[in-house]
Amino acid sequence: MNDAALKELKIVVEQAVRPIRATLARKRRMREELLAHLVSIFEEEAERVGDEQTALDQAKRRFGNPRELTGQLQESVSPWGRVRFVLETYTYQPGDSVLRLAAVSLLSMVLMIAGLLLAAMLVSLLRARHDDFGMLVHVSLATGVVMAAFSFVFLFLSERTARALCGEDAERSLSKVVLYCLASLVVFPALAFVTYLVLSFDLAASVAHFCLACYFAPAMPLLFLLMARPMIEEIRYKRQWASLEIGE
Amino acid sequence: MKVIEGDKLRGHLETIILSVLERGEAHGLEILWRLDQAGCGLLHLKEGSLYPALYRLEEAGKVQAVWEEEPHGRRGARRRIYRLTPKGKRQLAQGREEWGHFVQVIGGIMGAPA
Repeated sequence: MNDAALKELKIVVEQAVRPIRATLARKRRMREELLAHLVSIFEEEAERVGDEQTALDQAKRRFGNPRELTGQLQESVSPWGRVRFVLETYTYQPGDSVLRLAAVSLLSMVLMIAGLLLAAMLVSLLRARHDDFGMLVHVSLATGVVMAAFSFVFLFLSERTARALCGEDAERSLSKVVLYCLASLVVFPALAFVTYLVLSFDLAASVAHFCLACYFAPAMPLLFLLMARPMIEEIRYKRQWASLEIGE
Repeated sequence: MKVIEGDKLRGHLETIILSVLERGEAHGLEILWRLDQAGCGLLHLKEGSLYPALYRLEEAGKVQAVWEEEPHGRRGARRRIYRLTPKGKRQLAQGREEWGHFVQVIGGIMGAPA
């Protein structure tokens, strides 16, 4: 089977799968299984008729109209699957833009702070003690901001490291890998410093925590490098299928 | 004899798939081969339509699927092997009972008892 025939079959699969409102994992499973089926029937037909173009046409005819299949596949997604799809829409996936990552981090911060504040209010009400409410608000705000900032920096650096290490040709750069690894060395101690500072307002103790965290900092570049491969595979997979023209 | 098109199978496809899987686990294409054999080539189903039915059965816990180990030269695309679960077996028994009842009632109305 030549690459052009495989691409044609992928387009048929993508016409059926792309419009479906389901999680990425679910759509990935559908793509692989439907493609395996199409390739099998193409090979069956190619053996029977001995001509690739006729085999391709026959395979498409046997498979059916991909647009009609979309509706049937959508119906096979359970209500819980649709909920997970909506939740996934508001999370960050490798390959998304930095702007989206920032928006998702901001949204997660707002949600986290709201949740923690609600919990703080409940605790305060249940214990009938209002003197520690201010402290609970302070902790909630500080935790939300620090966690959101950390998740943004962590995801940003790990994806950039992945792209610089094994992304597309134009993205690959050893100097960038070194730069991101150096930046990641700073992340953990900085997080420890900022977290302690916003919680205690004690500069000396925050510096002490910064120094302590420096011992663990060398683990961060290692962590980013370990995360690089699965991330880049995900990015490549998304790019590969998104590049197919399906005539929407 | 006239062929039976996919539209006429609506409402029965899932039970038909369960009955095919009763004979042993199979991937999508194998299920279609078995259907073709059992229907003497008179069952015409758009092959892609099989998968939504399989996914519904899987969601409902009536079949279980695992990825095959090797793609066997299909350019990296793997197939999934489906097998019947105990819940699927119960559903199949119920489906057969309902089908018998349906044929009896409709056959009686149409003056063509089974």
